[in-house]
Amino acid sequence: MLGLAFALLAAQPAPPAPAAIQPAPPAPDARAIARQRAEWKRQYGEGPYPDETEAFLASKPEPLRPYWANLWRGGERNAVVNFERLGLAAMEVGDYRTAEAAFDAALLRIESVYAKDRLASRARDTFAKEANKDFKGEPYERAMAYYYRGLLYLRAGDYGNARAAFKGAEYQDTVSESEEFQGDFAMMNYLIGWAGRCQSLTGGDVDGAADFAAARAAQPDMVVPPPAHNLLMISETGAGPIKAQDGAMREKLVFRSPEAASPERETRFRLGPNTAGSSEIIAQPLSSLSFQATTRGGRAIDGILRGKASFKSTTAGIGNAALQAGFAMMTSRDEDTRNAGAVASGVGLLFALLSSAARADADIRHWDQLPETLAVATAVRPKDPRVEVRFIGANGPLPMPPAALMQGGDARCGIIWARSRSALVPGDVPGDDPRVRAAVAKRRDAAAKDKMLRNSLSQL
Amino acid sequence: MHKQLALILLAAATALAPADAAPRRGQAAVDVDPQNRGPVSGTGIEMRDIIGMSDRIVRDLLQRADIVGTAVPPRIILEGSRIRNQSSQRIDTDLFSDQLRAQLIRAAAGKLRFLSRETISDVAAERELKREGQTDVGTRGMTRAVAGSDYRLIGRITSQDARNNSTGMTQRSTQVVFELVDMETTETVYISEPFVVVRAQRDDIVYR
Repeated sequence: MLGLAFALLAAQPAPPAPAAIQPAPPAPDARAIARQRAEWKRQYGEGPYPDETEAFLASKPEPLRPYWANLWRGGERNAVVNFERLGLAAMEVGDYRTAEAAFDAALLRIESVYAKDRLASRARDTFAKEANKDFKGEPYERAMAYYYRGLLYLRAGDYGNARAAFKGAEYQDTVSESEEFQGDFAMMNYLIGWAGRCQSLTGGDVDGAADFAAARAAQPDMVVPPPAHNLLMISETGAGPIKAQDGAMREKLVFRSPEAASPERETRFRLGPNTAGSSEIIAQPLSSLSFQATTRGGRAIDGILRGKASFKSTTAGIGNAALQAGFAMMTSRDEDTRNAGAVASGVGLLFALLSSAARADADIRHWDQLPETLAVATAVRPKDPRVEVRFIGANGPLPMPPAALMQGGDARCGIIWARSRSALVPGDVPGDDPRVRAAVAKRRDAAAKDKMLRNSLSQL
Repeated sequence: MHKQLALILLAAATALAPADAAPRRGQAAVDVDPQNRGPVSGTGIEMRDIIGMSDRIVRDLLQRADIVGTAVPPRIILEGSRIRNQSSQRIDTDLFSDQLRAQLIRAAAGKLRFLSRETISDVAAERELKREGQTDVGTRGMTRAVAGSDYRLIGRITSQDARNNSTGMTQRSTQVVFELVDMETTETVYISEPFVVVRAQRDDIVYR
């Protein structure tokens, strides 16, 4: 803070001389500033320091400041999820330029290959937690990052890149250990088809029929949009899955739904003026994120975590047995037996230490703004751009205005996107392990990467 | 027994030893030859592919006497919006059109003329100002109409992704093809050699 104040004072032009002699403001105490920075160095290491954070956040819009702050402080390890949180919050407040940049930055990292990354290899280490790795998210989270980028492309009328983004989302659904769970994300197939159809309106031969057919294979009730329809309406309702640890050594990653059932049963869109004769269009649910999260069929790293858990329980078992046997032998009258008992106790202690040092915990950091249900509807775009969105519960309309509403596209292909739940969620990355976070931040290689990230953020 | 214990301690110490030191120094910005592979690359189309592909098309077209060698240079429209990205890679198609247009204009040295349809509304507004007398006619005179085109260069980018789930290897095959279409007859008078890029990579197991 003192550093910032000093910099600001230095940047100010000299004021005109006052008529009366005023007492001069106290000069910045160089020693105090140096002391402050030394204190920050001890407390924050390579940074970011409070004055840097304050200066960075000063130019950011108020509603997005918490997300920028998390990104600024979270470093590369949490950059993907923090960019995703920022991007979705920016979509909600209508800052689409920031949303595009944020999802581009998240996807850049998701698409990066960690071929010789030290934190990734540390995550495999028996004595380190999986949470050491940079977050990329599970396939359903990665797919949703592509999905939101695709929606932003649809809004901008860039149908080729929208289709590419939705294909990227659909591809994430194929990253499954088990064949039976591959390619069942109907929403993404539907959107590939829709974007392809929009793209072909400027020439070309992509009619999207194959993609609509793929969506229908996963969701047989799906209605293929009639050829005359040029307006896509997307509704997101409910709260998406959260991650938790399970198993004796917390080695299992499990997904839980935060609600037994979402109160929003249905979404209805009314286009144009709300007159007596105007009708509502009901959105058709196409995909459930909980279903997507829970039907992946296992991760490659699950085997490693099982191995860590097995090591932890085996060494604990050996350690306990050796300690008990050793203590028993140490009560013997025979000196050789007592000596052997001491050695056995030592070995048992060593195994117990190895067991307690092993870290099998699954990484449960997650993207907490995601919805539970994705639904779609289509229509012929009316000239009147007004739209009304209602969420319907078991007993009728819910007192729940849309938290986010985005309209865009062009005359050929329009899009309306609505959410029932706000993406402006509080707090830092849910599920993060503060001890791992602090330990990674102290690594010099991680600190250097974090510094580069902050430099790049300053240019966004 | 004591020897075994020492061995176990040694093994434990080895396992617990920190990993070798990571590269700690940063990397200052470096110039990378755009025609060569840079320090960061993925499975998609890169700038070196676009430059190489444009170079090939320029060489092809300049050898076509029926297109480039005519007494009156043909007029061509080449715009990013007509390069259709049907691949799974997000890409700015203006990268292709700008590179091609720049290379063609420079290499053809007047033997090909390019029309800008992207600026036609600006041109129409300027023409109106001139004809209304709000501006003078400029130094190049006026024409009865804007120039019509002889050809349009169009392109298509397609891709196929594949993945081996047992090894985690992913592969993307991308194909780019350009065609020169006669704007009077719809005839394709030139088609580029399909430019195919196949690249594979594998992410760390913690992300698979």
